[in-house]
Amino acid sequence: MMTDRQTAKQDGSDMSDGEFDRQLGALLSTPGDADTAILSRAVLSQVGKDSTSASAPLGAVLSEPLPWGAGFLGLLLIGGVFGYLGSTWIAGDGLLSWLTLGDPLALIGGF
Amino acid sequence: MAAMARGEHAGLARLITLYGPGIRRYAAQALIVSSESEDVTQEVFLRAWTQAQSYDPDKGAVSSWLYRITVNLCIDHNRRRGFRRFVGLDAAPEFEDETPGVEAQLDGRQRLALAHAAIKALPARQRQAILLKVAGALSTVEIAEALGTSAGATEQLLVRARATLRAHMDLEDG
Repeated sequence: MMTDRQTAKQDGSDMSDGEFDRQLGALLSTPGDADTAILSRAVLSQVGKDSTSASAPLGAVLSEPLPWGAGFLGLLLIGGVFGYLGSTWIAGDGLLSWLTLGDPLALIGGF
Repeated sequence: MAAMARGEHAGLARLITLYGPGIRRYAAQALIVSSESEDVTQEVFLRAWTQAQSYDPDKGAVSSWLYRITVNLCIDHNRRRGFRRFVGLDAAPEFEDETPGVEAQLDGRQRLALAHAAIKALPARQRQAILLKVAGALSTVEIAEALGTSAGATEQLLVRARATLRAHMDLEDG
């Protein structure tokens, strides 16, 4: 591992690494750089907003798939029940039987 | 960090005071569009807040953990920005600092523009290492933890980055 002095000698410059880093850092810094009041306010207000938000982020869905999956299956079941009731109410049992059994029976001659 | 993991906002505020300026400085240099540094800095702390419980002190310092988030976010932003520019959604960035101002500020502006150009020309890993050093004021070990590499490799990255920057800036000065 090279020391500051070795690096300075190798580069043919008198400036040590520490001094070079310090000067470069000073060059890149801007006035008011250290002021974090606005940043703090923005972040903390965002954090407050997120904690009161009801919508779950995608990460929550991915990290806890079971409750979300169960909810989805529940909705699917309710949809199925309503669909079944709706179809028998509108078209009667005949159409439903034909739709259910028509295709398998078609293989052996059908209706 | 313990306070943050317990959901105390004071812990987050303390973290912002300690590391906010350095992270903002790093992002301003690492991003293609430096004006996005404020947004990225906010995103870093929001991510730190949501992931506070996953922080493991045995794996490294808080500074390394925060800067690792910063480095990754900057890479993501630059990738998205590059793609948007490729498909024509964004214009190429303008280099504000290259415009000469009043004579008294000319030297400083030129030096800054020179430094920007030299840093941007460095290979990605060297650029990340030297920026973590000068903008974030991290130690070599902290940089190694943030970049997921060894201290020796980090030292090599820093040595090469400094040598390139010195040569580039001396060349331009001369």
